[in-house]
Amino acid sequence: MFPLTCSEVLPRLNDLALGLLEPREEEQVRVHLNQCLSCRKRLEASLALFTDLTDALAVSGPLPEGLGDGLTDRLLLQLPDLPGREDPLAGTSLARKRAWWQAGVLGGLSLAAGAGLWLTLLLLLPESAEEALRLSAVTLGRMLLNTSAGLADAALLILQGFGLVLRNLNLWTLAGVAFGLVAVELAVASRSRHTRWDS
Amino acid sequence: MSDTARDDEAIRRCLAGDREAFGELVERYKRPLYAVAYRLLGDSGLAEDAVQETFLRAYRALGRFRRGDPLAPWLYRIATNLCHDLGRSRGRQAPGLDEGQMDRLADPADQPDEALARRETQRRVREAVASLPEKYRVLVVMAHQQGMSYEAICQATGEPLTIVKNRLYRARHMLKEQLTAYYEEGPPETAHSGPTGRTPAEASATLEGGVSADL
Repeated sequence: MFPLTCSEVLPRLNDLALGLLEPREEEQVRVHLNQCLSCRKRLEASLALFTDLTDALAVSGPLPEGLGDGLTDRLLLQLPDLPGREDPLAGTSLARKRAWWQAGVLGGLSLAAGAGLWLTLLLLLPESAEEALRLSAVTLGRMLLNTSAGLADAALLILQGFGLVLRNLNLWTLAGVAFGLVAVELAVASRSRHTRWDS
Repeated sequence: MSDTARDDEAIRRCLAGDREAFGELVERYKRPLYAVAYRLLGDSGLAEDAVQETFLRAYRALGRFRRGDPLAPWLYRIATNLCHDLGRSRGRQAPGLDEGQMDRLADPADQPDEALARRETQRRVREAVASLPEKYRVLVVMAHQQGMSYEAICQATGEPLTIVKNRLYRARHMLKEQLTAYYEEGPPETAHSGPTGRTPAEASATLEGGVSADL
């Protein structure tokens, strides 16, 4: 059994104070403590803190009137005869945060799918893809120079770009478009979906 | 019968339409839920609202609770999320330090000086806990007030074990840093054997994933 160093013992002191270490691990820590005053002092600090925490955070005495006798009856008056299957966290900030995360992940997947489709077009349809890229670059440049004129040009050039793609329509394109649509649909649906407790 | 088995039996009856079984669960958990909510919100009125809403939501969602899992972490999860939102709607302020009737009363056996010192220590510690960021404070309350195991805390927070251990380690470190000066000025007499007569290890081991019976 190798002796532990201070840096190895330090993260274990809290668990030792709480009696959560495995017997073998505890033995190793205690061997170190017998030789190290600094770690012993840290353990004493942990013990003192934990004792005080248990004491300071305890709540005793009578419950507020609203939680006394009759609470169940009052609660049941507001509830249906049988328990339901609602989301217990619906409407809380956690549920909203999770829904946004899910929408974000699906949105990211959609973007990745779009990028994948674009790369596929680049590989399979080099001529039309090069032309479309050129048109995109021109569009972007014009938009930066003149927003209103650029937007009109953008619409025109995007339509031209679609025309190029449509002329070279193949199975890959159809699959990519279908995947993109499904991903967008999922992203929208997830916004209204309830968050499951066990999800 | 274990806590989980006892709760599972009550849930089974509840789902079968026995409304009294829900009353059993309410009686069993209202006090520990209130204790957690009170320490997170620092306001007895808000804590009472949080507990009532927790039970309403739990009943409406009982059909989707995974049978065989411990019930307490599920209830704590609902309650702590409600506390989070109630705390936010009250304004982004740390919980108050209400020294009201629900705080542990001084032991009548304490000498006046000891009782005073103990109340001062309690106040300092509560102040330090209240100053922690919420994500740490929740874990400290679960671990040190309710004596919940790491596993139960993971279930209640939805966080993985490494995150829970890391946050608890950091929270305790922050508390020690804040309280060092106080301990060095006049170390309380409570070290190693607290006035509750319950050692930290006992507090931690009170229940495996459950709720402290000594509230």
